[in-house]
Amino acid sequence: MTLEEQIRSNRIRSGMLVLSFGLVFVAIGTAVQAMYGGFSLIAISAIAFTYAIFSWFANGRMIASWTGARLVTKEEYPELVRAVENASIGAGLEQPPQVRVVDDPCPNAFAAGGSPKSAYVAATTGLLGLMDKRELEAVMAHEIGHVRNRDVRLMSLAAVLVGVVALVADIALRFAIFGGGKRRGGNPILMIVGIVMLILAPIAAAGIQMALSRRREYLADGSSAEITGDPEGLALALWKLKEDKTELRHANRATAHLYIETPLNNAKGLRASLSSLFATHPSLDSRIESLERIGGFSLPALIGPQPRLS
Amino acid sequence: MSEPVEQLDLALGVEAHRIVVGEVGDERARARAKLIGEVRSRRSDQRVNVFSRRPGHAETLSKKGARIIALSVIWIIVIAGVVVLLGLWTVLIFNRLVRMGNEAKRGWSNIDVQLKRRTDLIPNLVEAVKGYAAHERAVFEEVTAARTALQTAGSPAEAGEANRQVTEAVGRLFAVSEAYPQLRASENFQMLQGELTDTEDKIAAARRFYNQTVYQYNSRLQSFPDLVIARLGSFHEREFFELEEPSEAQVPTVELSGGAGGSDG
Repeated sequence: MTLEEQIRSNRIRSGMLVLSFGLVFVAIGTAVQAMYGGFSLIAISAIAFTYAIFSWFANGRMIASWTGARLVTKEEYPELVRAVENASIGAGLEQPPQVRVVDDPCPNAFAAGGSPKSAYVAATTGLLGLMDKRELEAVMAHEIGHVRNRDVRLMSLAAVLVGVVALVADIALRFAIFGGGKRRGGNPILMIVGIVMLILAPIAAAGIQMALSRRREYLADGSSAEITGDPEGLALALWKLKEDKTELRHANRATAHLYIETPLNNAKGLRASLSSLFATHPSLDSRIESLERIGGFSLPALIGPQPRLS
Repeated sequence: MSEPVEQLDLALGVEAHRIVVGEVGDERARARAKLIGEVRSRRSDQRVNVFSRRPGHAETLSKKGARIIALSVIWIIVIAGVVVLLGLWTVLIFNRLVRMGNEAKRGWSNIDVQLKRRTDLIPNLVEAVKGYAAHERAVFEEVTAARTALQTAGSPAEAGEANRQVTEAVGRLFAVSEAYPQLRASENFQMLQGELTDTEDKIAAARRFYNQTVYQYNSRLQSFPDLVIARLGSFHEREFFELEEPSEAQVPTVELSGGAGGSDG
């Protein structure tokens, strides 16, 4: 698939995502209308329409506030900003995207927003502490690859349109399980809502999956290798991410697919089993393997005999 | 020479007993009036050619002609279609070449910006080092000469050569400065060193993008259909910038087959 085909496919998928979001809510509205009458259909459609329009333009800022990513200047984080600048020059972007930082000890990074001009890349403070200059540049080049391939709008829309269902489902699920204790059998409607959400959450996650294949991550890895000319750097960075076991604080299913490495890996219990079923990322091992093929090197030889962290 | 119109009445070929009774009058009157008009307006060497079904003999006479007309119309449509498609195709190829050329141009301006930044930084660096090591005149001259060469370089190849000289000269300057701990400790010097390193990184990144676009653009210009349009539209191949090995310009191919998530959702 060439870059142009990828860009075109992303554009079509973004439109389809918004359209199917609208259709789902018109369907829900019709059902509610049939049950309760009144202005239900119009009201629900209007709310969904407004939300979709709002999402199209503000998805980047919405995700920033969900994840706690704040804008930073070159004075605060010179290495990070330089890495982003270099990667965007290497990718031939007209201007480097904005840079945001998430205060979180877990190393991870993501890109969000709309067009290459309004998109931003974000890194956690954990990532900045863990990676050296070369690896940081490779990770940023992966994110810039998402920006250049026009993945960001589709991924961000998936987060705010489909992911919001998963987000609400997660909250409702928790509420139905823990919050229902006091009034046992008291509120059957809440129980029903809980059960519906239990069903909806994985469906929503599967919806994200349908819109975003895992192939996108391989492609962005390839873009990173192309931008920096250094597939080894990214392989080393992915290896470090694999060895690290810190848990991301703001991890949730709505935004999981945005990150360079899935933040749900370390989740326990129900969420862990669900996330393995609906994985948004290919395993780091297979990604490192494909980088080894691109660059014609072997990671164990690069790392050398140093003891593994785990 | 005029024929008695009334006799043509017989040639209408309308057999009265085959026509639905109610229509007979109409049918005959209309056809007749038309035929009469036709006959009267024709020139002596023309045949009456009425396409309507009513005058049977006229239809049999023109059948061949009609087929020829229909065939030629089809041919005209086909040829016009091919011409239009060819035109569109040419426009598409032309536009793609323009776009790729612009991309290469943008890649070059990225390099240019960084080269300018580098030439701006060098006098400051020289001044900073002079403050501590004024007697290292040979190195200063070398750096200044290389900088001037970079400033006056016209083509990408020239700029590449000049930039290589600058890199060497600046490297030597930094090597010299190793002998002066006070210089190395100065904040100004460290800042300049950081800026220059950053500029070098950015030149390397811009070079990679530029050489890739030039490689793609040039190979387009060398391949068949584009080649013709490139000649006509006077598109020219662009020079590489500091291309050490040709494989550098080629984009690494991404292998997707090996991955676990090969299927597209």
